[in-house]
Amino acid sequence: MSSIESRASDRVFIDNAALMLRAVDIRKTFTLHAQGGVQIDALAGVSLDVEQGECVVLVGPSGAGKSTLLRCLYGNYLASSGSIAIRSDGHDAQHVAITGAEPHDVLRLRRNVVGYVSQFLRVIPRVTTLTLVAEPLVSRGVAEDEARERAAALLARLNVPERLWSLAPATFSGGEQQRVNIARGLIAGHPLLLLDEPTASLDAENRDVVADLVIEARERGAAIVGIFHDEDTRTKVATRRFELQPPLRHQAALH
Amino acid sequence: MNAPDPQLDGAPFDRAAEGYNFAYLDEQTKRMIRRSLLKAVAVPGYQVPFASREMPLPFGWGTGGIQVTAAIIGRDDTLKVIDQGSDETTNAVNIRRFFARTTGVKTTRRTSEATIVQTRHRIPETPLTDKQILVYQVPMPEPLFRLEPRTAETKKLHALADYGLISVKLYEDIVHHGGIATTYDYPVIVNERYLTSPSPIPKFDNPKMHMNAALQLFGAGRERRIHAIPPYTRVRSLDFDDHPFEIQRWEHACALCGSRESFLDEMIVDDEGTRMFVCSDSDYCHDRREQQTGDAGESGEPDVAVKRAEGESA
Amino acid sequence: MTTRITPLMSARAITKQYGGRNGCRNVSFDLYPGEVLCIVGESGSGKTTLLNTLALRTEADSGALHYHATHGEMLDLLAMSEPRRRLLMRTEWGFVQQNPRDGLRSGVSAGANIGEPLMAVGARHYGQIRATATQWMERVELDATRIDEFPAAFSGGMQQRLQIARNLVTGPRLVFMDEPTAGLDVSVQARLLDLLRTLTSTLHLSVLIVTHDIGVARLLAHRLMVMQGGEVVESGLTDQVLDDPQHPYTQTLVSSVLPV
Repeated sequence: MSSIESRASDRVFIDNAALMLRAVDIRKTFTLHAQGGVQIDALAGVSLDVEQGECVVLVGPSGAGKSTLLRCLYGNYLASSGSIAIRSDGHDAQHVAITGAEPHDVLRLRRNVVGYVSQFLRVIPRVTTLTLVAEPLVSRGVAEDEARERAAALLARLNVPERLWSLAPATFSGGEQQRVNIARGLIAGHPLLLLDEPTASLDAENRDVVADLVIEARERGAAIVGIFHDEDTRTKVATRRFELQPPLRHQAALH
Repeated sequence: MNAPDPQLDGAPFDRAAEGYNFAYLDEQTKRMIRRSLLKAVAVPGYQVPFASREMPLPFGWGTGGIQVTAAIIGRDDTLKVIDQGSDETTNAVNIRRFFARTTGVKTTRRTSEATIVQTRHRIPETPLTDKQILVYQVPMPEPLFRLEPRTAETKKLHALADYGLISVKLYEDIVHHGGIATTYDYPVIVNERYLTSPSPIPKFDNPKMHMNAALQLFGAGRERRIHAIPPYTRVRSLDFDDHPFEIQRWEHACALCGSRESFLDEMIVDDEGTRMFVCSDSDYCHDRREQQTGDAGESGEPDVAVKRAEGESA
Repeated sequence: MTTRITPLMSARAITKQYGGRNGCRNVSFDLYPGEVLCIVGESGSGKTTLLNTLALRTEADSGALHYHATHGEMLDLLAMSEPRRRLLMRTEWGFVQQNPRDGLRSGVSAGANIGEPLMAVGARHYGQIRATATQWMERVELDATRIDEFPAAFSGGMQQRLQIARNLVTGPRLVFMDEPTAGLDVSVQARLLDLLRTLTSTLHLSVLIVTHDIGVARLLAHRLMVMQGGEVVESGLTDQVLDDPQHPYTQTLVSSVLPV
């Protein structure tokens, strides 16, 4: 971010106390070196502001870059250009630019500010479900007993049977894994939540539970950006929709 | 060995033998050794390398101690030589004769009369004075040798006072034997700085090294090292807070003189396995017997001692 | 704006080469307290040279290396005297060797191996040393009743855990690890990685790990540095480098991992 832009966004976070996220002109191009340097555009200039209490649902056809945008907001993908600023945890008007940030700053943001529910649960062998879900609290300094109690409560709410809590999720069904994933993502009550298809493998009853959890988060002031694949859930949780279009695809060989 | 040593009865050797320099070594060598001794005294407990010479006995027979004695002995000195406390073993007798022949200097059995005491593996029971020098024969001067054979590494450990390794050895002793199992050559810290080998003296003798009025010099001929403990230097035996250093104790008293304070040797006196505990320090034992019975001038020959024991126990 | 935390270790342009080739060239990074940084690369990438240079086991040809010591002083590691260096390595650092036999004393018991670093910094109470060693054996999931057995009596994976306990017993702030799981069976590896993951987060350690195994990096590291031909070709957050690799070599490396 240039200093002019940085100062401009300084003002924005001060002037608008509810602003949690400002993404300006995000572009993302993948260069596949192993395939002759072919380039694939995923995002072609997306700008988005999200405030506390908002739930922005990303809509658009497959390949429009919805998931890519979420990953760029989380710092999981490197935006090719543009800026992403997030209100930080420390002081009211401070923000961190994810784009170009130091890894340790991003890590701190992820611990304290930005929560992310990915599409797939990354399984760590031998770690039990309860431990997995309690971990975000423990890493924020919550006592282990209390963290495990809260994890248990959330898992129960998501209808994950208690007999599974002491098992590692590797052998769970897709739906069970997804609910564990959601519990882990939502438990710490992050002020900014990025949700990537959290209801994809769930039946109707559990989709409703997730929708309720999202609404509760929204109502306690979290800013949420999410992708939901069923219209029902979208209607329930969204305060606004944001449309993405697939960028014009062109293939430019480097070699 | 039972033939009386002519030197103790009178002095046929009152000058250095023809063709030998005083005390066998040439003057340049003595000067080199004295320079090493000075360095050693200046840094208590630190091993100083020296150019150990070929001596008329092989390595392993006290050549280090002999070279140190040869470097410091003068015409007016009186020399005592002991080997495990006795003046009469082959070693002690031969070394004493060697110096008698090459210096003509007076020799003695009595600790109190000696100005230089050369010893193998014991410290005399009789307290030493600030007019005396104790010269130890040392086989392996490096206390860490068994744990760390590389001299390049032990040099660094000493330089950095990085002595965790020796604690490991003591820890292992307690693990495998229930207590610190080292009974001789028990490592000490000299002047609160250097880890030093006291030579294979029994740990019983370690406390005598601490704040001793005499100058203590250590010579290792094969390993070519000299170290020293100046008079009145702090010497501390290593231990753990909950496994403190302890000296050996006996249930018996000396069968000859009745001492309960000295280091006792266990002697098997006949084929039935009859045992007798006797002071290791023959001069000390003899002195005590003299005081007790008023008898004068008996040399500590073993058959005499056994007869006396039989007489006393009868 | 970013908050200024002092890095635990700062490297600038670190270079160590052998006859003008190989080794590592021009490596710079900052390592923060509590961070696990993985140096990933294939054989000949220079990662082990880099690790040994950072750990002061090999002398750097050029560059700057600074360390923020416990008492707040910023130490210039390349200019430090050997005694100070050895003291630092004894009190604030650990180094876990690839082969645990290189990092253990085979002639003394497990308890002595764990207790030695304590004794080296002045511990003088046998009972307490033994109690601490027992606690650590339990922490690394070794049977504490085996405290008096020699390292050779333990399996490879257990020896590695013993080495880890030996390195962590003095509470270091920075631990170097050279391929800590290489050569171990897969199930043993998994257990060890789990242990490392737990320990690094509960003890708030900074760790520099060298590995050729991306799975290890994914599991343990917050950050990655990818090395090729002696240079760092890409670095960043672990998930970012592995999910969105930019450099051609990184892309090759990531796509080469066999799926399970």
